Amino acid sequence: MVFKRLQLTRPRRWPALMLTISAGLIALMMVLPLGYLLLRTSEAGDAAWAQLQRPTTLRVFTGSALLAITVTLGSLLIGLPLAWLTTRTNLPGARIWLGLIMLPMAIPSYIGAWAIIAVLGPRGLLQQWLAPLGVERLPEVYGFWGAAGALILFGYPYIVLNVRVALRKLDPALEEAARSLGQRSGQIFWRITLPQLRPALAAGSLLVVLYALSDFGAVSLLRYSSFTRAIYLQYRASFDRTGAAVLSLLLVGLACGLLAAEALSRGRARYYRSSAGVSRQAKVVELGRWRWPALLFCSVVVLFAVVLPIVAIVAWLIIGIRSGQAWNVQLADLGNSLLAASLAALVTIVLAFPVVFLAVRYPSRLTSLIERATYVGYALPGIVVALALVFWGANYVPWAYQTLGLLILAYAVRFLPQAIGSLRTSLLQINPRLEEAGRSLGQPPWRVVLSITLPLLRPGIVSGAALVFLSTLKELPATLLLGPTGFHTLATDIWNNTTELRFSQTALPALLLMLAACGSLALLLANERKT
Amino acid sequence: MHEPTTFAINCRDVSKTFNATKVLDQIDFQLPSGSLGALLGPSGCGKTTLLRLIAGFETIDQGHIWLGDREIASAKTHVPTEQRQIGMVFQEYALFPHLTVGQNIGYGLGRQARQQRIDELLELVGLAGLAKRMPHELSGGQQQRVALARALAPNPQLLLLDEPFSNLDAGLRDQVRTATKQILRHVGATALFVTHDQEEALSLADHVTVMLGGKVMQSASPHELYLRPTSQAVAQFVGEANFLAGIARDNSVECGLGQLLLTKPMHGPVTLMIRPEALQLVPDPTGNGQILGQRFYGHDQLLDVQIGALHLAARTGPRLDLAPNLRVAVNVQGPVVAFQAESS
Amino acid sequence: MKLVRSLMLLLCLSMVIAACGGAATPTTAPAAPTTAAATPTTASAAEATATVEVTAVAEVSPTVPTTTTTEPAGGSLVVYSGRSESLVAPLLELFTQETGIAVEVRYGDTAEMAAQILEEGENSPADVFFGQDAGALGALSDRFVQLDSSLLSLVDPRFASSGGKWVGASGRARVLVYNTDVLTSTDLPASILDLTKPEWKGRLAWAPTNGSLQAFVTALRVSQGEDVAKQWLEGLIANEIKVYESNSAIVKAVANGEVDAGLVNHYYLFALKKDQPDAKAANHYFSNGDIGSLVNVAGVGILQTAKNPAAAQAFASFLLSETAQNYFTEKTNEYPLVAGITTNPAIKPLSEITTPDIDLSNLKDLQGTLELLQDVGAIQ
Repeated sequence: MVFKRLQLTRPRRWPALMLTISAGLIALMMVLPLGYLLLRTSEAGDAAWAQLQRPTTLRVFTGSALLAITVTLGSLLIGLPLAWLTTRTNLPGARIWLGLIMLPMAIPSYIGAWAIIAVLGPRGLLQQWLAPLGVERLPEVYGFWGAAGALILFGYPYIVLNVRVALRKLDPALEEAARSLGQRSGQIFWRITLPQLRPALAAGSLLVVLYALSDFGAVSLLRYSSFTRAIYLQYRASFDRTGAAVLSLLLVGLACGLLAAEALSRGRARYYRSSAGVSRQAKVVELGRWRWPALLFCSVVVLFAVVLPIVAIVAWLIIGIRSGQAWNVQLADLGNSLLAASLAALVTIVLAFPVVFLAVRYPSRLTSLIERATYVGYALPGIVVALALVFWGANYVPWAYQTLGLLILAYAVRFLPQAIGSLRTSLLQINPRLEEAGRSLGQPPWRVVLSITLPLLRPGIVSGAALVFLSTLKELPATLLLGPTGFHTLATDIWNNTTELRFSQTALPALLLMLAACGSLALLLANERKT
Repeated sequence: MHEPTTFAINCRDVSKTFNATKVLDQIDFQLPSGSLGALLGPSGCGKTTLLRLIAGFETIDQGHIWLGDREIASAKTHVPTEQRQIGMVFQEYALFPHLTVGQNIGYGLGRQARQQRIDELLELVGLAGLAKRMPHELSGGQQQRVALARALAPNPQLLLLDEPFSNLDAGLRDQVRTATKQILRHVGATALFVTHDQEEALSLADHVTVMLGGKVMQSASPHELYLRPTSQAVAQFVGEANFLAGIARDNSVECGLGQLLLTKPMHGPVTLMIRPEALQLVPDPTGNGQILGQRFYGHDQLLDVQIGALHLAARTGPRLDLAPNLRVAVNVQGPVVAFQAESS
Repeated sequence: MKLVRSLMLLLCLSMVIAACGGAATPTTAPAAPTTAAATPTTASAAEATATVEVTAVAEVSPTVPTTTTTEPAGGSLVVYSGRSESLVAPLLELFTQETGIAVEVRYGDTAEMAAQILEEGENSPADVFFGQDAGALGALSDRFVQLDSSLLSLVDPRFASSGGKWVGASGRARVLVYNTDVLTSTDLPASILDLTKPEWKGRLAWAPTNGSLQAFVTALRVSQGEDVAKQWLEGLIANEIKVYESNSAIVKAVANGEVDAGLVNHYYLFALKKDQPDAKAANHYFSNGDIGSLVNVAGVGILQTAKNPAAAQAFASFLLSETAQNYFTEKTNEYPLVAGITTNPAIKPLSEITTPDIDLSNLKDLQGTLELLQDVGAIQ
């Protein structure tokens, strides 16, 4: 096994050098929020120390870490079986289930959490149904378990998405070899399949863990004191923004710790096919009578993650229609949402390319640092990223401030790791020999990338683009602060109506948002079938 | 630096270091035009690295590589792979999984007459009619031939093959080797392949280069290499050999088997190399040797023979029934190769 | 490649939707200045128009006419609104109709917008900030210009910055919302401090993370001292007060019997009654002068960096005009702050509430409140 090393002193290494420079610039862009936070904290001086020493700070720190870890484990526990069931087994209606279990990505967490409260909360729908049976109180939905449960329901699709890509590309020869060595299915899964899925699991977990750290909607509605909630409270309360900056920096520290742990677990293994040639599709596992528990499992997940929020939204829509105030959505807002989300997906994928290529094809400490740096924006609450870009934008590029361009850039800062995770998983599975073969046949590197690497990366590109698209559809803080004046999207419509307590009027934009998201999910799944 | 040459590929003083490990150490290596060369060595000897340097996938630290008259690599120059006109067949074939067989073969071709060339090559490798298949629908042997056809398609000046037969099962391997050799001969290509299998190197190549520990040990025809290795290490790696000590004087040497003829004059303490098949065994109750063990292969048999304090391996035809304990007379056929004994 | 094509398609599609939708969207920019005198939509606005032009516009008369003529569409007024679009947009249309000044408006959360303006610094595009919390307005005091005394004099000094940096436009009272099935008005306490009594154990709700509650606690600290505030908070927690995320959630919980009573702003009840006209909830106002009957404001300040100060001035005047004041009380059930405006009959008149003696400018010390709330465990 030969490792390519970066030797930047060598002039003829210019493709690697160019890649490093562009990826470095991208990473620099992504750590703009970090720069902002350091600036604010350094201005604060003693106040920053005081904030650090408050007992609440430690409590929030451990609370957030615990929440993030619980959510990740829970998402793995739900996401991994779902990915396997929909990819490798004869689960009845697998494609429909797949569509359904991915749907939570289309539901903003504040709507989902709110639906959970409406149904499972004290005096919620469930309690009302059970009241005739003498049930007076339900288990507490607020607090740690409620928040963790809600975040798991919105986090597991990241695992499913990443693992499916890997499962479909997994070399069945490896499993067959294990079977020939007399191992039983269970053993094969633990000893062969799971280790091969490690990069996908890691990429998915990273997205979930950082999502759990940065989400605001669910923790706020379900009243759990995570970093995000504490940071928002600081912004609400202290307009000097120091406390928020200190807490945000701590959050970045926590995220860095998690990133480092993940990097250590990555090791140096190779994940592309080891055997010769191109192998066949994996065999479909017959579920037999196990299909009933499998179907039950899928149903329960879909019930909580999809049916509940949709029922809640539809119920509000009906209330809204009755009072004659539901149809207030501008078509332009839907258009703006789609436009912004498509552009964000496009730009983010383009930005992810150099970073992923560098990190995968030229692994070194520098390149992995560059890759890791891009995760900063994803770990931070949206309001922090948005305010950071307000600061840099208004003061250093005022001509670009509050334009669509800067807004798209803000989306990229927030969601780049989603694209990077997907692309990385795909690229790891492409044998570099394929690119060498292309070049040995007389094609220059850019042609090889276009004709070989890109088509093979398609599953990763599509899933990365879809993730960014979905996240952008739901994004609020950056859209509010950085969008061009008068730029309304479905998300701002929802926000606008919820702040005014007109839940009945949030229903239509929320439904439209979910429909738009379903469209992109359909595109994603249709594409998956072709490859 | 210009070095006029009639070689297809010419490496001078090539060194390469990875992570402070010297993988290639002052390699000198040439391959005449139109010949089929083999780079032979155990895994980790640097042969694949040398192949990748020639292909241009890696840069060299020191030395020069010429392709024909063109310098393609040195410490200062690095002609990119795609401009070298070197074809490559990878160990894992590296067929593009999203392209059909025909598209794979046509990948390196311009638009003009592409289809004609694809058909021609499919015909050549015996896969006519399979152009529309996807690579994963082919058997291992067929995939190997597609890889070969793809590499040959742009008429490269030089074809490199990295362990091209190692992924085939034993029954198929021989057949594919022969077919590959025929195809390469037919198109008159200059080809260089890497292998750790000495039998493969000797049977296929016109020209075999043995590499050990990042150095070229010997470059010669298979015949020369087998019969006249220049070092004990090469002798040991290529084929089986008996080594025994002796004292040389001019053209003869005194050893445990008596006085033997040398291939070239030498003096002083030497190590002799005797191939097992050079030992001729004749059943003889008064013979100087005794059979200790026998392994019968059908086309021949390998025998463990004791002569005094010496244990030797001998190979002979299947006809003689040489059961253990039988006494035999041992004769050495032809002159023997000797190496200067190491001074320690 | 199919993928690229479908992405392109999506992009084109969304642009088309955005384009035709955009054309259909009513913009706040005036079609032509001449429409300024177009027929007002409501009777009250019609009555108002004359007065407004006399009272408000007249005060800035040297500048207003020039701005309308010298400022083409490009030089419009930029409003940062911490109040929601459905409330503000119609109001801005009235403004544009009356003055001919085109408006660009950005909506957001009041506190986040205050932070945004602070971050933008000298380059802030905003001309005016229209926020719904005196604390946020106070935090931006250093960035506001001194307001004209003629403007400040329209409003009771209780509802303006003591330094004259911002002025309140509408009022919002703190109340106790209660379930009318469980409680009658006679059961309810005179002072908010009585809620720590044992008879309220397990029956109350609050939203300690909500800005208006925090503003109230700040007022409590400022007027009665840290100790009283701390004891009160601890008493409520000892009384097992239930935590909700927002005022609206409390009103809902009270209406469906989840809790008996909760601390909220007065107008949330009316928002709920829009969706559920028969909701079993009512507002209780604490006694006159009790800190519990605090009235906070939504108000306006003009940025020092305003590019269009004259238009900004006109906007501030407009918010205190009869048109706008009527609009607030009718549309949002808030209190008009300018004397002589008829209050929406649904709400208890402001004149009947003696608000506690508090300088609303002092409510910007929310940091201390937040720390106190955290220390007593109200916010974890």
